[in-house]
Amino acid sequence: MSSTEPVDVLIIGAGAAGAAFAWSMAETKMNILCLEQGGWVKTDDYPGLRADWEARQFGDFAFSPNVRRRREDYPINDAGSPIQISNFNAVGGSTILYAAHFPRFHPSDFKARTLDGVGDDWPLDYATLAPWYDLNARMMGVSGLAGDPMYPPGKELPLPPVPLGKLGETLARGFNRLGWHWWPSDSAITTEEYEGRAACINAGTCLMGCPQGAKGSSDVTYWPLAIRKGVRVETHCRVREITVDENGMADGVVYYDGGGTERRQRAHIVVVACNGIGTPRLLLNSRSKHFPDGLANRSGLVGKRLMFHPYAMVTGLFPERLDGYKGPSGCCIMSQEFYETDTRRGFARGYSFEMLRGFGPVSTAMIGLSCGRMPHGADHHRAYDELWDRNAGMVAICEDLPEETNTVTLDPEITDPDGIPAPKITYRLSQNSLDMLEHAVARGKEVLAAAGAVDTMVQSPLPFAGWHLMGTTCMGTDPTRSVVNEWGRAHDVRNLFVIDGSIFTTSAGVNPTNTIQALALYIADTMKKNLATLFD
Amino acid sequence: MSDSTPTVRELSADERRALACVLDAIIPPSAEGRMPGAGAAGIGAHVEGVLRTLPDLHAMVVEGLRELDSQARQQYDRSFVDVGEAERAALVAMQGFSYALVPHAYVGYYQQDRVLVAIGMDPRPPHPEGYALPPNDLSLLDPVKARGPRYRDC
Repeated sequence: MSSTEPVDVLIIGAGAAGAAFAWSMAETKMNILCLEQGGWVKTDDYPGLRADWEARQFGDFAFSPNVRRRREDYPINDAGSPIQISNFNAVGGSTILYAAHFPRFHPSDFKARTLDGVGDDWPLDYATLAPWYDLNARMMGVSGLAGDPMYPPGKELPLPPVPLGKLGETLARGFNRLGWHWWPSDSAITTEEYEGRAACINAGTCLMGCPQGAKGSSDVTYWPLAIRKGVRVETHCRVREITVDENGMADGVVYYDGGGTERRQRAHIVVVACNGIGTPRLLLNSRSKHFPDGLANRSGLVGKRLMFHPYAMVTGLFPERLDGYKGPSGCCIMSQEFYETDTRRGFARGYSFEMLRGFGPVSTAMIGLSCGRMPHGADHHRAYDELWDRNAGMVAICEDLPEETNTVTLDPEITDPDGIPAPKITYRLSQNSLDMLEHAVARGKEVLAAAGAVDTMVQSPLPFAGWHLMGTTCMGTDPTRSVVNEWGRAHDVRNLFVIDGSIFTTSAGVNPTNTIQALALYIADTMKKNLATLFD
Repeated sequence: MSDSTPTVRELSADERRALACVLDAIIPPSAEGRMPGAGAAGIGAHVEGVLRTLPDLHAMVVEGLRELDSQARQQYDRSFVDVGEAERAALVAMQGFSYALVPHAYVGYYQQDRVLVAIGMDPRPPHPEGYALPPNDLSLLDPVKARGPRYRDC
C-alpha cells in the first residue's frame, strides 16, 4: 500500500458541502486535498443534448445508484424503506441531478423542541447562518424575489426569479383564489448571465444535469474557484476507512483508486462530506481499538436519526395546454401556507408545496402508467392526450422528525465493487409524517381544483424521493446526544469534522442543499477563526 | 456486483415480426392516423436493445411470443402475425409479458421524431436551443404581499 506525505486538510466527497468548504478554506493556503469517488461530468455527457434524453433517467442518469450501477456508485440496500435513496457520485455530487430548488430554513426550524416539543433544537440559529446563506446565494448564483412574507426581511439574492410560465401563473391564481401563500421559488439557476455562467434556456432537463451550466451544481460554482486557489481534487478515489493514531486522533484514510489499488493518504485534519448515507457508512466502517463501534460513535448515534423528506406528489389535469415542459423542471413557485405548526391539523411541524413543471413526453406516459391511466390498445392515445402538456402539480415536502429507529447500518452481505460494505437503510414513516402527507394530499387537490384542474393524480409517499439524506451524525452540544458539536467537530475526535446533511438536528420542510452549504461555510469560517486552538 | 453485460441471443425474424405486432397492440395507430402504432414506428429496435441487457425479460418475451403463436393457431388456425388486429389485441391482453414490455415501449415511442411532431413538439432534444417563456406577471403577488409577514418570529 503506497502512502504519501500528509496533507493539512483532507476532504472526503466533492459534493455540495465539500465544494463550499474547500473554497472557503483555500484562503488559508493550507495543503488541501479532496478525494471523490466519482469523476467530472463532461458537458457532452448530459442527456439533454440527445434525442433519448428522457430514457436515460432510467439508466445511467437514474436517481437510484442501484439502477445506475456506474463503477463509481455503491449499492444501497433500501429494501427496508418505503422511500428509495437517490444520489449521484461525481464532482458536484447530487447537485448534478438536483432540481436546484434553494430555499432557506426558517427561524422556527432551528427550534422545533422549544416551539413544538418535537425533535431537538439546533445548537445554532437562523441569525447565525443568515450571512452564510447570503454568501452562498452569491456563490451558487441564486435567483428569486426579495420580500417573501414567510421569511424575515433581509434575504439577499443576486438574480431575478425563474419564469413562472403559463403553468406557474395558472397555479398561482389557484393559490390566490384560496387566499393561500405562494412565492417564486429561490432557485440556484442563473436567470441571467452570471459570473461566467450562461443564462437558463428553460430546457427542463435539470433533473438529469444542465449542459448549459445555468444550474448551480457545485462542479461549476465552487470547484473551479477552489481549484484556482490551490485545492486539489483527485477523482475515482473511494475511501474505505478513516484511520486513527495511538491517541485516537484521525491520521488519514485508506482508499481505492480508479484501478482498485489500495492506497493510503495521511492528513492532519479529516473532513467528511459524503452525505447522510455515505458519511455514517464510512464512520461505521472505520473501526479500531479506540472506536470498536465505528469512528466518533461513542454516543451510539452514528447512523441513527436518519431523516428524509416524505413527499406526496399531487398532479392536476387541466383542460388546456400549459407549456409545462418549458422551464426549470423543479423550480417554479412554492407555497408555505402549511409550513408552521398548527395543532388543529393533528400533526407537528409542516410542509412546503413546490410546484413542478409538466412532465416530458416519456415521463407523461410513465406517470400515467404508474397511476393506472394508460390503457393498452385503442384507448391509449385518448388517455395520453388527456395527460400530455395538460398536467401541472406539486410535491409536498414534509418535515421528517428524527427517530433513532430510522437507521443507516452496514449491510452484512452486499458490497461495492471495491469490497466495502454497502449501507443498509431501515426506515419507517412516522404517524406524524403519515398524517402530514394525508393533509398535504387533500390541500393539494383543493388548490389544483381552484386553479382549474378537472382531475388529479396522487402518489403518496413518493417512492423514489429519497433525495434528502439527513441527521445520521447529528449536531449538538451534548456528547451523549449528538455526534458533532455546533461547528461540525466530532465530539470524540478533535481533528475530525462532518460538514454534510448528516449533521442536521432536524430536517425542516424545505430542500436542504442551501443549508448544507451555508453550514459548510460557517464551519469553515469557525475553523479559520480557531486554527491556533482547533484541537483544544 | 459485476460490470459484465449479460448476453442473450438475437430475436429471429419471425419473433421480430411478432414483437412488432405486440407493440402495435400496446400502442396501436390512432384512428384518425395522426399517431403511428408502436410497431410501425420502429420501437421494436429499441425494445430489442433493452432485451439484450435484461436476460430475464428476454426469456419472458421469447416464451410469451411462442405462447401467443400457439394460442393464435389453436383459436384461429393461423399464426399470431396473420390474425386480425382485434384478435391480436385480445391475445396480447391475455399475456402477462406484454405488460412488462409497456414501460419500454413507452420510452421508445415517445422519443421518436414522428411522435414528437404529432403531439406538438419540435423533434429535437431540449438543449442547446431551449424554450422561450414570457416575462413574469408579478402583480399576481399583490394579494400575498397584502396579507403581511407570516413567518414565526422566534
